[in-house]
Amino acid sequence: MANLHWLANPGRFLRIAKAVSPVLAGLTVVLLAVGLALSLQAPVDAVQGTPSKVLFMHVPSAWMSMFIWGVMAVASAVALIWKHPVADIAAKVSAPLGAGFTAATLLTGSLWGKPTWGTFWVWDARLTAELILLFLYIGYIAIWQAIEDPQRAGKAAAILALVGSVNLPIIHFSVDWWNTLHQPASILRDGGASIDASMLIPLLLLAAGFQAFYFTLLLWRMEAEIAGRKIRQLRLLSAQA
Amino acid sequence: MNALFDYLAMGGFAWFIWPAYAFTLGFMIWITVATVRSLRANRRTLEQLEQAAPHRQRRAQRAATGTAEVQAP
Repeated sequence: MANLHWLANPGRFLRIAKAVSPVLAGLTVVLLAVGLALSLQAPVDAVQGTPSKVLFMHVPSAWMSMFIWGVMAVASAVALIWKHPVADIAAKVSAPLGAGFTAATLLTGSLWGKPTWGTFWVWDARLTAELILLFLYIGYIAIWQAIEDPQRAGKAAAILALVGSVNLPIIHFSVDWWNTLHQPASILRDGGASIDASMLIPLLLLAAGFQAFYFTLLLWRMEAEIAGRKIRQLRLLSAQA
Repeated sequence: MNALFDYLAMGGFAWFIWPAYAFTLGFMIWITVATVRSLRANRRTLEQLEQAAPHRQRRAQRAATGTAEVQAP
């Protein structure tokens, strides 16, 4: 935890963020370019046929939708327990990214479901849990917008982030716990990945690219948010003077 | 050229595959543009405000983030 306290100083955080973000941005571009090129060349699944290409957008988006809520939950715990201002900001600026990836997961999933299952949507356990995740993101963003005082908004939003994290294992294990239409895990499962390397490699490159993308945008958005708060305070002080 | 059209047709599933790519990558591009714009605008505004009232910087920093900015002299 010593490292976290060290980063709690926004000035120090900004100096590090400015040094790291160009490297992360470059990594994002390379990973996404190579991953996309390979994904477009990859052979299609023998059983599911061409629609399985949607996998390359659907799976990394789905992983990000859950990963980002996980980051928000951890950051919120840190913010609540240690009153860590930078953690609060990290959680806040992550939410729109998570909401976008959740929407992408649902949309690409229904574009995969129509040709494969014959329907865009079904009230299946995993699909429903992912839809609830989207509502959680929207609720989280709404709290920040509804409560003007950032300290109070941060506390309420942090509690939602922690309570909502219960949904993450439900999404992941839904395909094992219930008899779902959604196929079970083929990467994160006992006995290793069950898909061929020609599909697995572009998938993992894209997943890494989505991760690098998230952290790049996280740093930029945090800097913008810290600057925005300073601007508000400076304007407030000059209005009082 | 026919090979390209065949590829783009995705075996008749073009209307499922390309929108999936377009929406996901479109979202990523859109949020990147929005983030970079607000970052640049905030950096510029902050710089102007700090130049206008340099003595208020420290107080604003503390009030904005709830911590004391400790710096070596």
